[in-house]
Amino acid sequence: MNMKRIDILVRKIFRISEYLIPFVISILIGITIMAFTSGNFVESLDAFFLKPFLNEYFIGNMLSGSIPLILTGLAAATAFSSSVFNLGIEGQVYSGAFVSTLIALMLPDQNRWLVWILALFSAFVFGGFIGGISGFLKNRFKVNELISSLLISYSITLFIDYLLENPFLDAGSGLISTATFEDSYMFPKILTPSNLHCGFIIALIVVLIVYVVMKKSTFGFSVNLMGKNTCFSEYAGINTRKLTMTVMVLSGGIAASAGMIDVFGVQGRVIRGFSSGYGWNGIAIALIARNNPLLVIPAALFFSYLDAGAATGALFSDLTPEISRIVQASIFYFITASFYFKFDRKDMKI
Amino acid sequence: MIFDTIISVLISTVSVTTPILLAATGGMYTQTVDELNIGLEGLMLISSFFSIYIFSISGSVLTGVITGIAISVLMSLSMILFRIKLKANIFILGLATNLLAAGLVSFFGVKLLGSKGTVIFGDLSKTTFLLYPLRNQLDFADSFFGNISIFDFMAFAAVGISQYIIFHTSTGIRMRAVGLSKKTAVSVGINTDKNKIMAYMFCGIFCGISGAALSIPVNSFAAGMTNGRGWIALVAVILGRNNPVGIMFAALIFGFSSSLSNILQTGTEISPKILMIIPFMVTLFALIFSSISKNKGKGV
Repeated sequence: MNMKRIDILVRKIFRISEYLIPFVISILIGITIMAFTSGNFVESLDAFFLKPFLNEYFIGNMLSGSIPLILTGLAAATAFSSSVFNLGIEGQVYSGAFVSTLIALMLPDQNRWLVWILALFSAFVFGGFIGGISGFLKNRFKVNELISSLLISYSITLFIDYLLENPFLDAGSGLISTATFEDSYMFPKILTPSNLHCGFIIALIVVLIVYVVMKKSTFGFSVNLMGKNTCFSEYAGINTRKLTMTVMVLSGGIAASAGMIDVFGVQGRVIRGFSSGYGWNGIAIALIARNNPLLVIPAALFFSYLDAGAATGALFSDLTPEISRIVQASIFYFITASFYFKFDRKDMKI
Repeated sequence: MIFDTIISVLISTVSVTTPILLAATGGMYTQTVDELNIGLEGLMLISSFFSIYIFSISGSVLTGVITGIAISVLMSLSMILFRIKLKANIFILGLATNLLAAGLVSFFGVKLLGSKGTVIFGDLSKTTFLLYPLRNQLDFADSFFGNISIFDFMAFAAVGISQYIIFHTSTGIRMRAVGLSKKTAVSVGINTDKNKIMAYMFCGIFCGISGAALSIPVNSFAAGMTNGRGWIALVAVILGRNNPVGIMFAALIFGFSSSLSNILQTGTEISPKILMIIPFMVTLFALIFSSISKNKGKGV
């Protein structure tokens, strides 16, 4: 009995350490690169790893940077946990940002709550619609949703670029962007003068809702079942077509609301290409979090921390910001690798 | 006049198709062994950087291309070794490769070239002769063949070579067996790991050439050089259904619609951004029609 308990404990430790190894290795890779490229090694270590916590401003910006990542990570995790691959998150974020900005620009001098709800709702619906197209093509024509969502995302991004450059260009701003909507529509700030805003709380609430739905509801159960084995879930009487559609709409909608929240929290307008990278990083975060909605939060925070470290590293020392991208990439190399392959893995299937 | 336009459409079709076709041919090998490599974009990017950089140092196109291929093969092999030895997820390794390549390229861009943006390596005249072998022969200078670069030849040769390897050699047959049914392949004594490594080696080689085909002909490098071409190549792999000739047609569809959009950009008032959507939409519709024809008679 006692032996069994120890055995379980040992397994648990192995499991946790297996999860931590990728982070340790990739940070070591980052440190090695710093050692080779930096003039003052200690100074750059300090600038990269500790300076992001220097004061409220840096901490606030770090948290603010994680908001869109949490939501795009969640969008990807929702889709991936049912083995539906939505690679169009990039375009969905962009379109959500654009649609919600239009709402804010069209409705001046209104109740801010009304505008927020309308903007969030329309972003969600539009993003969901874009995701839904891929779901429809998959169900109706068996078109691989991975490819169709990607192609649609490229097209949408180009189309919104066009709209920003021509009909909706605010010539006075000096940037290729829409006009800025009124300040009262912006989310209240936390920790000024940093960029952190109330969208952080919204993102956390959305994560909680998705977590509860995925873990506790029948819907969540069927989604996870479908993710593990599509054939079996069909056998069990689950309508996989309907589920594919729902998941794509949900994923697209969450991605689009990431765009809305970022615009209403930080810029107050859509700047061309502002969301570039949000989608890919979101996918990466979902993979690191192993599609668990709750783990998306620490994964996004870690990503945002590396980005913040890259920024402070460039500010306070001679590091190039690209180091953070190399560290992020090396995490992926190791994240799904199993280091205890001789260990009994029956209970550890991802 | 119309004749000239047709010629210029053909030339630009071929030049747009070449890098996509090469990368897609590489991707096809990985799809054949059922371990689709979604890191084509990253392999192309890393090779396009190193081939132009080594070319600019050494002055030899061949050295540049070979370095590009070597680095691309190295990354490709490391992917499949992580897959085989550490059981990592191939999809995630592909994403990792894309991210790592983007990171490495901007990192080395700053360290070696001192710029994150576009770098132009000087004038092209020295290499024109090498790149366009038919240009000075028989007054070909302005015609179609005069503008076919050595990479274009390689791309279409790759189709022929791959057709031969996949369908007419024991290596190709083994690879297909591994992709169709791993268990059956193992039961008849095929080493699946060896075949997967082989497939990834081919993938690395072709993606390496593809990257060099992007940067060397224009003698410059930009961080966004690949610009989604790796993903389009992936679309071509799926559209072409594991058949080199099919992949060639898929890449040509994209190349042709891209070159039409390029021509329309200079000839009309329509916004270039709108015209740039055309190739993506054409590819999407090609994908839909291909799926319809594939599923015909299956009661779908």
